Amino acid sequence: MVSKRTSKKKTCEACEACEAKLSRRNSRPISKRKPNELKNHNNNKKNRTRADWGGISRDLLECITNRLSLRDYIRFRAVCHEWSYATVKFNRPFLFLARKIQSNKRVIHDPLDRKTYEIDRPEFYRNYLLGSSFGWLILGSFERRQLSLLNPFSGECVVLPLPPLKKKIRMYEIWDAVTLSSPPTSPNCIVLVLQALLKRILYCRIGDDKWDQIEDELFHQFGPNQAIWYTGNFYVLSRTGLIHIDVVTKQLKMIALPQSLSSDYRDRHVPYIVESRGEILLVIVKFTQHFEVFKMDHSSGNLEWERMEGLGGRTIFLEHGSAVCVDASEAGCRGDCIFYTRKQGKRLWNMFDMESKKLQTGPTQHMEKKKNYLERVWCVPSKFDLMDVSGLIRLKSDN
Amino acid sequence: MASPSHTRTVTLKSCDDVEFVLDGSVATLSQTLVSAMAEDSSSSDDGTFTWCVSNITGEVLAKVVEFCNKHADISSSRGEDLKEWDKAFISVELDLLYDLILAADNLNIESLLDLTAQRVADEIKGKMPHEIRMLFNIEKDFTDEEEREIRREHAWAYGGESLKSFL
Repeated sequence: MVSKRTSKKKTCEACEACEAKLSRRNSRPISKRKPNELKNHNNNKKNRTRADWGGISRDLLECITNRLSLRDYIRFRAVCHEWSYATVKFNRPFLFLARKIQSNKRVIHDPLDRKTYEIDRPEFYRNYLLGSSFGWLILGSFERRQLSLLNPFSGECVVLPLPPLKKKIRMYEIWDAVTLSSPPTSPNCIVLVLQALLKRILYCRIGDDKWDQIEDELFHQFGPNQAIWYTGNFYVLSRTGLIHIDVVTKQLKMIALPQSLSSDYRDRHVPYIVESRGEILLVIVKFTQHFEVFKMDHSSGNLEWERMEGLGGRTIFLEHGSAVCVDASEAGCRGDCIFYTRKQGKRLWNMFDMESKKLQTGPTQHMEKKKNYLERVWCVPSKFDLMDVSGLIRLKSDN
Repeated sequence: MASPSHTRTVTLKSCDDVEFVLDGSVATLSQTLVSAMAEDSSSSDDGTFTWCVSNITGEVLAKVVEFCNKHADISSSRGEDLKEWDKAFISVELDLLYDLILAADNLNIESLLDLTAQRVADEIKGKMPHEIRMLFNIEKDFTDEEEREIRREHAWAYGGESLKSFL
């Protein structure tokens, strides 16, 4: 960081010093100038601005920084004092990737400019990335017992109580979906864990020392297994349908999925749920390249799935542990698109355009010893989190 | 008793006394005007409301009004056409862009703020700090020590070895 000297707003209202500096710069022979500089030189006359850009308010600066890629934000802060204090609240998700768990390092990918960086936090060591919720990553320990929550943007961490053991648990498939009802820093945050193999859900409040549980045959052993919080209740997406869970009365209710989803959809039709603007959206991915979006509608009294042609300026980022939906205008990314991540394949993600109904290929991932990334999790910084970019290192290997 | 904002006409007056008459429904794009109209009880029965914007010139206000008229017109505000229109609208000189972003902030027009902020972000995209300074006419006000600190922290962001010329 720049040392916090009280900065006096220095602006050059078409000042002579600047003019002089510029003319000195431009008096160097053209051949010795850098290509970028040359480009500016040609545009200089047209683009010279007399406005006080350096003195623009912090709030307005934040509107601008939110739309920059991580790299451009770092460069932005190196422009002048006033800009160096500009904070950033990104409203788009970053893709967190892991290749090996015996390390403090994970990879963070910015979908805006397709660049990848290395992020180093001790909490990552020997932990799997299970998913994300409200800007927090859900980590599961290598021993498959301990769950913890990490805010990768602010560095805060919350350790959850150990889940109760049940008979002899196999070493895998312990946590199939984990989600939160609110950020863990807010009071009354509830954590929900689906253990599909054991046909049960566990839940607890942050600060509790043990878990409550509901066992039911409705929780199907095999995927898709995703969980979200929506208007005061949890919903679990299972092979059997969408399960509405009331944690107060411990009542479960089954909601049928759209007809469009074939009943034998394993591997071919994969559903995802995501909450957005007070709606539940259901995305069906067919044969990994065709996408259908439905909106849950209970206006008529009965529950119906209404097919959507567009997303109304929203962008969806799909991944089983962490499907998220953002407003494209706030996020600075392209609207009415679905970013789709798969564990298999050479691409980090592909993008489906709802308007043209076409799938565009995303960046190729760098294969290290023929191993691709084991885990991928989208995570959007919450509205309260300022992004801390210190210590980020650009990785050249990817893209 | 003030009539509902969408049925009234609004007169916007710039700092250099240029007047623009807007439909009430157009004015609701500006949160500043919406709250001003809600607070205003003195309004005449003929449903007109006058608002003086002390720091926006007629030239800039004309652009703002053009933007609001386009965006309030529901029949045209759909899909690709509007995107194209926005793109053409915002292709302005940096001086006017600066006035527009300030006006969008002042009148609290979210869609205009999004559009102007995005244009500034697009200008910054891919440029080195010194190029950004040159484009926006900003003076470098870091001491040598501060500059070293900035370079040290994210050396990769400024192009590796040839740092001196970049920052």
